[in-house]
This record gives sequence, C-alpha cells and structure tokens, in this order.
Amino acid sequence: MATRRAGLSLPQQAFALSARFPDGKPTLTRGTLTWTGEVTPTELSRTYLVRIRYRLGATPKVTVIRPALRTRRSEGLPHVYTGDILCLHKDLDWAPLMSLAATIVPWTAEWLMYYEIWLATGNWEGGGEWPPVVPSDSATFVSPRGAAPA
Amino acid sequence: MIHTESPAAQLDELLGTSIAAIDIPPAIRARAITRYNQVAAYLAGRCPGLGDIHTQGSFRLGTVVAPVAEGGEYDMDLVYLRHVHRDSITKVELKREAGNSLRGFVNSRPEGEPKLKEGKRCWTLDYPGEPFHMDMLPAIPDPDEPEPAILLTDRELVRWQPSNPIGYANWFRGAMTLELKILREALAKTMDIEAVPEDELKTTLQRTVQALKRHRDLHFGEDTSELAPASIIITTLATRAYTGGAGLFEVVSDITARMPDFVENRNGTLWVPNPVRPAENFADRWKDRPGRARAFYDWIEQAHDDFTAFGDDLGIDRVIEKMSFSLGEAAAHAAGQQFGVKRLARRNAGVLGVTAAGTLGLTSGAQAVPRHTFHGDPPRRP
Repeated sequence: MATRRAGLSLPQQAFALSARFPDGKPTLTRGTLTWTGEVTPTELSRTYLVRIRYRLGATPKVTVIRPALRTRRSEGLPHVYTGDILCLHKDLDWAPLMSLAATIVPWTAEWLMYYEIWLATGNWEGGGEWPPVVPSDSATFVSPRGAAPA
Repeated sequence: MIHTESPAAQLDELLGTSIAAIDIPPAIRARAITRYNQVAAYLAGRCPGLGDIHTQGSFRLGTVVAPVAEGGEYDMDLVYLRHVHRDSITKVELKREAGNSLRGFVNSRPEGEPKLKEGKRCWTLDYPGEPFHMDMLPAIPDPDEPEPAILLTDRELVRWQPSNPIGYANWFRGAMTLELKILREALAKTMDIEAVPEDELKTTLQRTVQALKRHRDLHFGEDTSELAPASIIITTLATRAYTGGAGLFEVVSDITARMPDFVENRNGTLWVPNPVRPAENFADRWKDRPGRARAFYDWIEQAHDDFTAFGDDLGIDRVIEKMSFSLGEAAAHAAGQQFGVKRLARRNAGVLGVTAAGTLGLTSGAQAVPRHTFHGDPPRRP
C-alpha cells in the first residue's frame, strides 16, 4: 500500500475522469472517489460497467459490475486480487500524481480485452507477471493469501 | 484524436490471421519448392532432356490448406510433362518411362533421400521426415488444343484424359488481377516490393477458398469424404462468385451466398464447367451419387451461416470460439493471440489510445496509454 504523498486531489481526479470519459459518474464521499462508467475495450467486445474506488494515496481498486466476469473450466481469473479486483499494475507503475483517467481506465480497457481473448484461448496476451514471480531464494514461498503458488 | 477500427475491420483482422494460420508455413513451403526444383533440374539436365515438371492445383493457386489430421501431409501436385507426340507413345509407356526417369533421380541419391512409390496413374516422391510428398502425374501436350493444354492418362491407363492445370491457374489468377495490383501497391509503400514474392501476397479470394476447404474438411471429416465437394469445385464456384476485393469478412459472406448460383442445370444434369475446357464437368462425379450434390448444397449453406455468424455476438471470445468451430481451434487461437500481441506492441510503442467510450484505438502520441505490468495474486481455482 502506497503511503500518502503529494498527488492529484480527489476533485482533480474526478474532473479529469469526467473530461476524458463524460458518460461516467464520479462520486465523492468520505474521502473516497468512486467512479462508475462503461468500457467497451474493442469494437467486437461487450460493454462492461466498471467501478473504480480510490481513497487518496491508496491503490485504486477496479471491479467489473456487469456483466459478471466468467472463468474457464478449472481455471481462475488471471491477473486479479481477492474479490476479483483487477490487478492492472505493479506498485511502481502507478503513483497518486498520475491521473486515473490516463492510466487506470485505459488499463482496465486493456485488461478486459485480454480477458476476452483469455476466455477463448486460455492465454493472457497482455504481458505482465503471472503467476507472480517467486523469489528465487525461497523454495517455500507462500503468497500473502496463504496459498502456495501453482 | 483516437483512431478506432470498425467491427468489420477487426473481424477481417481475426479472420485473416486465422486463415493465414492454416496456410502452409513458409518454411515448409520453401523446402518443398527446393525439392521440386531438384527434381526439375535433374530431369532437365539429362541428355536428351527427360521433360519438365511444374506445379498444379493448390500449390500453383496459392490455396494450400494444412491437413487437419495429426501427422497429415501436404500433397504437392505436379505435372511431369514429356514433350512427346500422342501418336508416338502409349499411356503405359508414358507411365513406365516417367517411373524410370524418377527412379534414376532417386538413385542419384539426391538430398532428402526421397522414396519412389507407384500410384495408379501417378508417381509419388516421398521425403522421409518431411510433412509433404509430391504426386507426379505423367503428361504430354494435347495436340488438339492450344498450349498449355495437356493429356493425362486415366487411372486404368486406357484413355487419354485432357486437362489444363496451367490454363486453369491463369484463369484463377486473372480473376484476382485488380486485387493483386492493389495489394502490391499497398505493400510497395511499406517495403521493397522485390523482396516479396508474388506467392506471399494473398487475396481475399485465395483466403476464402482456404477457409472453405478447411470448413469442408472439418464438416465432412474423414469418414464421409466420399461426399465432400472436390477442391476444384469449391475453387471454381468461389472464383465465379468473387466480384473483387473488399473486406475479407464481406467477401467470404458474399462468395458463400452466391456460390450455389453458379452450378448450372443442363437438362437435369448439374454442371460446374471447367472454365478453360467448357466441355468438362467438374461435377461429373455427382451423377453417380446424388448424395454428393445434396451434400454440397447443405454444406455451402452451413458454411455461409457459420462464417456470417462470426460477428453476431459481442465478445472477442465468442468470435474466437466460432472461428474454432469453422477453421479449427489452433487457427482461431492463433488469431486471438496475434490480435492481443499486436495491441500490446502498440501500447509499448506509445501509440495505443482510448476513446471516451473506453475503446482502445490508435493515437499519434497524445494521451497514449502508459506502460504498466499486469500483476496479481497467484492463480486459484474458481
């Protein structure tokens, strides 16, 4: 979790989101920005309603409201955290001085495109680190969630 | 300004890459051509010359399709032309002499160490360890017709059978003249045109024929191949139904809709005339077994429905799943992979943009999507 440091304020983030994605809805409550908006990643794709929750200084959390994300038989979703929060970036890729509109929303569109390809092929073509890299000096690596990596 | 593509353009992209994935891989094609050139050089180098060979069928037309079956081989069909008059050779002699010449080639210990096998009317050069073999049909010029018409033997070596594979290929290529010109011009803008052999340019007609041949192979399987329409019938009808280059998806839809219209009914007999020998009916075998004609009509209707349905549901996954059904899983998955890889390259090159609708497109650089690394918790079971 990133520490609180100088960055765009929540109203600034909300303004940038509305400027770039006028059909989305930003709401500010109790120090948290919630943005819901539709993302259609490609011309052949479904339209997904997604929600971004962002508490100033924390990592933005993106979930897909509808349609519900599906999985392949005997395979969980790739590149997600618990609760099917999309894992769009590594810690260092994003900082609070970056605009959500310029990073998190486009990355969500990319995630959804690679998700659709993955649904059909079982392969994630978007690059990234998956499964997460196991430190080479630790043969008995245990993930933060307690599950041994597959 | 973000430039997006139309749904049709993206379907064209997925369809084009999946059909390219069932084409003969360039490396295998190059090795087959090397082998064929070695045979040709051997025959031409004897004194007196033992005749020449040339490709026919799908290798000549650029419509080769990978075999569906695991371990299946590419058939490279070749004509072995002897410059001998019809009156001075019998069919049996032609077949035997061709065999002697090819045995001489095999005994010269050429690279690839081919084995010679005898068929009913052809000789087969089989290259151990290679996924292709060459079927060589002995032939002589047809004295009753202008060049490049030839005479083949029938399977019983009793009758001469007129044929004109080069004339047919010229007719096929002639139908694509305009599209080939456009392809060549488009390519010339991006690279040295001399570096691209004509064989590697593929028109929407060639891609359509390949798609239909693969659909046929999957539709009929091996058990019912007696009913499956011949490639020459598919190619001829598709060429007649082809009206020029447009988007691949549109061309496939249009051709498959119109192909049945070009089967002629002549006094109750169904005809698919050979365009370069109008007296020859490619659908001659339909007479013996009426099920074949019905199988053709049912199949082409199914193919049309299957191909046009690619874009009916939303979701790239749905498109790929439907393409898997019609063109094979490996081909469809390859298309999905390339679709993703291409857009990843755009992001890494700083030209991937996103519209107000959250749709990925191309940007000249303003508001390009920044690089990032997809990450997450370790995989888990659903």
